[in-house]
Amino acid sequence: MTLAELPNQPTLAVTIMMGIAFIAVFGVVIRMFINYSKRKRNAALMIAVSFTFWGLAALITFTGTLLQYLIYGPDGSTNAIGSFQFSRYGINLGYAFSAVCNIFMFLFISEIFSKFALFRKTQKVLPMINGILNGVTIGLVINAFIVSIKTTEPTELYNPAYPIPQTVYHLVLTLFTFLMLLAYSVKSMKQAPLKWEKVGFKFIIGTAVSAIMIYVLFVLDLVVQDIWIVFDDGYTIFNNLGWLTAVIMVNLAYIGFFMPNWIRLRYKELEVK
Amino acid sequence: MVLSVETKLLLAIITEGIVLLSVSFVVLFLYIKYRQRKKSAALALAVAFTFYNIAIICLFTFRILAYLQEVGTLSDYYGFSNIGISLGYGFSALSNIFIFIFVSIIFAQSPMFRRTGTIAPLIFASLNGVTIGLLVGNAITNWPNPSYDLGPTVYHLILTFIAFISLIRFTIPSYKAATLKWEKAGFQFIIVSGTFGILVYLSFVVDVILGDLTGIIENGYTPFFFIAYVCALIMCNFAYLGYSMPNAVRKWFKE
Repeated sequence: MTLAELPNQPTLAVTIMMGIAFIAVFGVVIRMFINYSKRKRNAALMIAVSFTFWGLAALITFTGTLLQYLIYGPDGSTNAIGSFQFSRYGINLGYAFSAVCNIFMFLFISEIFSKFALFRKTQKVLPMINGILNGVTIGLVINAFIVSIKTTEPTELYNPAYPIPQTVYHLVLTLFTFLMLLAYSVKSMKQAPLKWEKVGFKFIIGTAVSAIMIYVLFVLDLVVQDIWIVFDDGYTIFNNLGWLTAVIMVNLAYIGFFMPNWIRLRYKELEVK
Repeated sequence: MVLSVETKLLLAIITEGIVLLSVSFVVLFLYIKYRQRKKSAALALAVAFTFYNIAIICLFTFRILAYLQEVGTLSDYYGFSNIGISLGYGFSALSNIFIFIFVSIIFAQSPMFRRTGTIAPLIFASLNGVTIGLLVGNAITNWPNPSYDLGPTVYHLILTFIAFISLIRFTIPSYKAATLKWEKAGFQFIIVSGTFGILVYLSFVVDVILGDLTGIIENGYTPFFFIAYVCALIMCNFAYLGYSMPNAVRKWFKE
């Protein structure tokens, strides 16, 4: 099943929200790279690279949406079949970058939890398999672009399909990655002896939960349009909430993994007391 | 004399059958060698050729179905030939990944792999995943007759070249540094294997250009199609000789 009809015209609110999200993500990513330059830890680089790709996903989705909004007007009145559907390209490319983010996130997980039996026994086999599977997502997205350019079907011309199976496939891989992060963070939190360490893992758990919530909210955004007449214009409140959750996710990841000194000291003081 | 499509298909089936048998034996020997030595490089090479073998199985099976279609036993509903090629490329992409892993293991001490760790094989694995995604997407879009597009084919060829060129590139310094004759011979065999790995795909490209694209040779299946399979045979056997060198060959060089 593909959505070959014209995409929904983005609202100003959602366009602004995407813009805020990508700026916020890059703000945190820059701090991550600064921290990496001081500590030079592999895992720090992996998480920074992973969120860089998430930031790029947000940036490209924002660019597509903004172009769609500016070129076809707030009500989309000048949009027509056969026109270049920027937002479709933005969303599809966003998924491709999100797939690359998954690859590095899994590598990060395999680095920080390398002492657990699963990663100790399998070495880097799991990140490798995860890399191939996420590569498939990118291939599917590129194929959608090729079809949209080569097709003779007017509704599909310059309007890359946004097929449900492909989206679900990407969601499954994303959920798998962040559920792994969640499961191993919970395990590590239970084993951590120091309070500030426990808190760090709590923030990482928060990261995983927010990451899962982002995609749940995006799915809700699509689903409520079909089942609830109030949301028949597309880009519901759930879409805005999804982007807001992304801002929360990346900040929690920063605090959890790079924990600023003042937070660490506060928890250390609490421990002493 | 222009051979009919039926005759060419039959010849292709026979060629693929012979190559399939030979590669199966090489794969079997590689697994036996792995059982004896339990080295991860041996396993990576065995898995790489296993996927290569599965690719040939797919091509062979769907070629038989295409032949049956040609003689009228089966309907034209499915594009068996292209389904076989798509599956073949998919498994060949998986084979590429393990060839590169093999290279990264045996040359783990080279500056590139020492510095980047598993990043290079991981990126290469993801890039080959893209090939599989392109093939799957194409198959879904054009089912039951997936097209045989030039873009994904060229992309896959580039990745294959990277895999085999890296094999050759990293083997040459080891070959130069080796002091014993049998060691040198082993590295030479690996270089020959890599070269023929490239020639396999080059021959397939020339086959497509002469047959399908320009029509210089009618009905496709040009001599280069068969040359490609001969190269595949040489590649697998030299890889086995080079990496798992049987005792008889080693002794011969030692003497």
